[in-house]
Amino acid sequence: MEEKDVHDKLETSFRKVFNNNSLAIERSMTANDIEKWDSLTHMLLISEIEDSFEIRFKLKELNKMKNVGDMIDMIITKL
Amino acid sequence: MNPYKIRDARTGDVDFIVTAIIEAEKSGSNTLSYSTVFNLPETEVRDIMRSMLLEEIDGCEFSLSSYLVAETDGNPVGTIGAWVEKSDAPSKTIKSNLLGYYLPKSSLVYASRESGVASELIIENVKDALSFVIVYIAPEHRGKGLFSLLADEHLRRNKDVEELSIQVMANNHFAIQSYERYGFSKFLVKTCNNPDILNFLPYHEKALMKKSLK
Repeated sequence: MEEKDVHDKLETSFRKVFNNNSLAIERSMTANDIEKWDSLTHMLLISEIEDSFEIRFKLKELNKMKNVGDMIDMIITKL
Repeated sequence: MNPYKIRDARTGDVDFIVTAIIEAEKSGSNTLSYSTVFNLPETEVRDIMRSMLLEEIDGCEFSLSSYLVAETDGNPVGTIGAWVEKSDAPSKTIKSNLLGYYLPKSSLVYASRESGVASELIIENVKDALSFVIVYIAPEHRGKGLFSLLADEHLRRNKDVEELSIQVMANNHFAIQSYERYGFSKFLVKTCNNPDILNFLPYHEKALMKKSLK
């Protein structure tokens, strides 16, 4: 899967979890940039990403992901 | 002679640290937010906390490395879990990663559907401050200066910080008095007026206290 495809599919997961169909994600985005990205939403987001891409993150992989760009890169390594 | 020794927490302390987190969260009530928010029995919460603490993940309240322990006669009797909150590795994200990894998916779904009101009392940790997040002294050792002993040692290890912060349920007057004696003062009080909050948390009001070291 190309990075653009991962980005688009990831954006769909974000839109579903944050219930916002116009949400546009960028590589530099963090939890500080998206309203309602709190602890619970973060857990739901990770769970949704895992289901959507049919992958399972290791705990240490989760803690390496500091922004959306890290998420995209990590997902690509697992596909 | 001071009968208490202050040291780093180690794996043999995990059950004590789990008790400390649970009692700190309950804040003198019978309401454990991790049980109510995630719809899990306390026994299961305890097992999950134990597993998370045994992971080698630093920087949140489920990190053994965050804790100093007061020991007497070889037994842990008090602890403070603390760290300096960094913007590039927020403790809430580290904690969420651990919880999301260990909690059953049904608990996440339950929390998203039923427990939203609990988030109304969330207060972010203060960036670059040394945050005392879990404080627990066994009942028979309270009033003996253990909070100061543990807090002083955390401070000695974080000499560069300019501010301390601590959060407490606003009805925990004994704890608030202890923190005030140490130099903390109330900086912010957050109130939730939705009565459903008491289905999830011990009280409807939470205080953020700070102490400047400048």
